[in-house]
Amino acid sequence: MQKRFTENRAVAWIVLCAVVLASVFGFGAWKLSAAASSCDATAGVLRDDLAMQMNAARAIVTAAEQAVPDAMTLQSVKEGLAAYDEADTLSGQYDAAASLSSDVALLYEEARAVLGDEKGGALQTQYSEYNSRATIIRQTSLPEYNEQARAAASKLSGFPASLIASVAGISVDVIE
Amino acid sequence: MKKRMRGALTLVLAVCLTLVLAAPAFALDLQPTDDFYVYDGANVLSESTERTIVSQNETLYATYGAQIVVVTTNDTEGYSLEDFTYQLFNEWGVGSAEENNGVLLVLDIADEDYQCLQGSGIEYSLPTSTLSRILNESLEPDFAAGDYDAGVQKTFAALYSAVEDISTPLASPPTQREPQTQQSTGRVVEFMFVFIVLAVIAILVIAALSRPRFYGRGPRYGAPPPPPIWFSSWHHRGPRPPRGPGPGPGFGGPRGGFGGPRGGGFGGPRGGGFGGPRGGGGHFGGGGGSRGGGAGRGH
Repeated sequence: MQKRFTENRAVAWIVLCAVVLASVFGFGAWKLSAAASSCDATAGVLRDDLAMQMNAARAIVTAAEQAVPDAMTLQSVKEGLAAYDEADTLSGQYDAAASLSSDVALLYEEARAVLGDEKGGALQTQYSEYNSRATIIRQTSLPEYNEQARAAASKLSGFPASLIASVAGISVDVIE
Repeated sequence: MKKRMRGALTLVLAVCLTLVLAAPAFALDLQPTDDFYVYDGANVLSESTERTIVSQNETLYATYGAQIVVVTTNDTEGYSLEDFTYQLFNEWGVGSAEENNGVLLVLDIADEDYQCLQGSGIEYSLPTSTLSRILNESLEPDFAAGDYDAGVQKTFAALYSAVEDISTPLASPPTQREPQTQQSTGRVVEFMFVFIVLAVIAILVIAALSRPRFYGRGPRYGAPPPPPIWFSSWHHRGPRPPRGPGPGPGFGGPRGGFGGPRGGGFGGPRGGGFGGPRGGGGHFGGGGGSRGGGAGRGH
């Protein structure tokens, strides 16, 4: 006589194992996800700081477009800003922003030479904002983010955490 | 014997080196006056300017919880002006702890430079670009001409207006915070600690030097093993006294050590530290913090 589905022991074992595995995986993934999201706040602050710095860079570009429209550095900074906009990770955004710094400084000097030393003008104040934000990122928001990112990454690095994290697509970027 | 001596000397040198390297982690020497809002270390401000800064700050703090502190100095204690301003801001706790809405203006007269820094709570409403504009318009001309008093007057007025514009009045006046770092008590404890460490080092050295020689010259076999170097000078004087209680709290936890980046201990950037309330009135920082950056002369 054919057994009913609910009376089939093999199926019951399979279902039980699946439920246990799913529970372990689900609980593990939930814990790892919580660990990874523990650096969301500092990541948000860093992202905001980068955005502020790039806004200042855009303002410098706007001023430079009037003063030195044919400058090579103008094109470089525009390309750098485009790379920043296209970056879809925080570390990508940081790298794009960091690679801009020398070009922005050069562009500022070139534009200032043409516009004259307008202290307190749009160009100078935006460059001040750009540098100030760079300092904040370097000495505060990046270290604070990295501290939490490293702590989260260490939780994700052991076994079976690394396996669960890779299956669940959980990762943390430490920005070097 | 020689190995032990070398070990002891290495230990002494390591401790000394640690002390030397740890010294910069201590708080800045510059401490606020009773007026708090103005510190004229370079003696370039008039009394009327100082009075104006204090009285206007009283109103500002009572109404908005914000503070604008002006410091003039000839010595940035080995730091760059930017770092000095950043550390000073956080050690003094300029602005309210809740709003982080302070502003600190530092004039380094000796190096003909200045730096202005805002609290982390007003970075967006009072951005560095605005500070830079205020400095260039209000301070730079007089500063370049050497008329620091006039420059500070104009800059303070502009900063006051800017802070007032971005602030909302408090529902109730802020409670006066107790001072962050008590200069006298904090320094005494600091010196006491250094003294104790030096005394321990001295005892170690004396112990190492006065160790009985028979350990080194005795029979090769059957001699008692040499004791640890720190017991070598008194191990033969009877039984060790009973141990005291277990380890105590020590000097500060992870966030309260000696000048750690986020405060506690000896004047860390976010407050805490030794010392009770200061007697005799005066003004204090509200506990505000800054993330650095800010505007300076020519940048």
